Amino acid sequence: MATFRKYDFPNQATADKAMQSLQPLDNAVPLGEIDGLVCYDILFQDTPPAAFTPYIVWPAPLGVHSFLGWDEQYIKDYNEFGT
Amino acid sequence: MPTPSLLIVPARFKSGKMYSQIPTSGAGDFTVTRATTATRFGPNGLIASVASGIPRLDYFASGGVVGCPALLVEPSGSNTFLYSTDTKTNWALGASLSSGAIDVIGVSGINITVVSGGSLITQTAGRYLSTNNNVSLASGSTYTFSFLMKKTGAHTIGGYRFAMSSGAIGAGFDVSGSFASGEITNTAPTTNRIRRVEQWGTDVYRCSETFTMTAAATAQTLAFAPLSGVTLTNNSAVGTSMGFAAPQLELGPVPTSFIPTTTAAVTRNADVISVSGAVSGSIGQTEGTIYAEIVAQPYNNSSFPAILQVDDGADSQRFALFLNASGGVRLRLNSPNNNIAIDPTSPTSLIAGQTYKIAAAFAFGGTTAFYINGVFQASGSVASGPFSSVLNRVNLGNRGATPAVISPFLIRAAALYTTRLTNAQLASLTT
Repeated sequence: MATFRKYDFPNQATADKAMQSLQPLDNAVPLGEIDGLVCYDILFQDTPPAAFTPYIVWPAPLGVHSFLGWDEQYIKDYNEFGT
Repeated sequence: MPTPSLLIVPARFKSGKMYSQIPTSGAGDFTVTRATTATRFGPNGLIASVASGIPRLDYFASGGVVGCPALLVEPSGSNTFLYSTDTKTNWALGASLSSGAIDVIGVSGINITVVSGGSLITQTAGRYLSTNNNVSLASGSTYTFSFLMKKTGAHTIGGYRFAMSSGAIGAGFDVSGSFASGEITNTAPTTNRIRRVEQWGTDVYRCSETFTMTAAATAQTLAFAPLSGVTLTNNSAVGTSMGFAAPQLELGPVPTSFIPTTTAAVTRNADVISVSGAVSGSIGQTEGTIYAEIVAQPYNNSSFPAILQVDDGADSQRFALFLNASGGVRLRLNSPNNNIAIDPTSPTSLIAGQTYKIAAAFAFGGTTAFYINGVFQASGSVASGPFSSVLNRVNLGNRGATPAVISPFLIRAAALYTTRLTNAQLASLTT
């Protein structure tokens, strides 16, 4: 089951290190720097690797980016985990 | 003509699967991976959404005419233009124009009519202006802006203009049949501008422009207007009109299928379609033939995307049809004793919207050859074999690298043979 999560990393090096645990069909979309943090939206083909856990964030839906067809699921997850 | 060992004419599917006609055992059925929804042309010729994991059978398969479907394969893409299906929120109409809502092949759009003469797309009075944007564009990156234009009267010319934090970029498009285009503004830090017009139905055209940023800038406001010429900023004559819809600003050198947006930028994942494992018997270890029928799309030929590739599961030993750096079809054969790349002679590059039947064959210790639409392209000698690894994966519309290398294609059919067809058979197969 695919999973959509949002992450803020303190710097690009930290982001790059976490990205090493991505699987081939995971899609990481760089959003650039927001408030000094390196931001990514990632659609994992399966469960997110543990390397990403410390950097997860829950901006109010939908933030600045989403994956097509995932708005409703993100809002559900936000209400369950992000509030 | 021998019977193929694997044949797929995209028609039957379920979520995550495309069924091959041959073999009937299921060993040749393709796995379809795309974890997002996406859009396609449905059988009614309208743009419609397709659920994640469902292969996109696109019915606009031959130059803007609804016909038999073909499998649409695309790389991941993101639309950073907000409210792309809403041409009212945060749009402002100039005083020299009037507007009305219209449907543009399934996407809500706006019809703009010139009601007072003498205004320009660069002026408030002469444009329909969106303030939905503020998209950061990075220096050195290549972007493509696309939108739909619908002829709602006799007039045939319209255009866009992006005002940026530094200068502006804009272009005019003539959809009269000559499909002319030109720059109307060029003060933004851009280079390598490429424009296209593709017919997407009766009186509907996808217009697009690709450009590379030479310095960072922010795309701030977007203007649409009917124009008097493809290089002119003047509004067209009073009473003339043009419809606009589906603005899309994406990173990359080609426009891709429409990605609806609302309050946020949106990404569509790539279509990754392959079969591995029991399919290994479908291509010979010492000789074989591959065949594909495609409708070419605006292509991204960086990293040599494959139309059809049979490989060892590692993108290492392979027999494949690639796109080369010129946008033509390249035959590729890699084995322990062979590193063969043969480029075509006619056509040397593909034309978007055109249909191509392509067949390539090889035999270790013999020859390789390939044909396009019945025309012999080139041949070469092949050193001894065999492959030292089993070719047990077939990639349709992608090269099996990580991440998958994909260029947009519409695929009508693909087939494999376990033998090297003769040149006469290759010619016949592609005619």
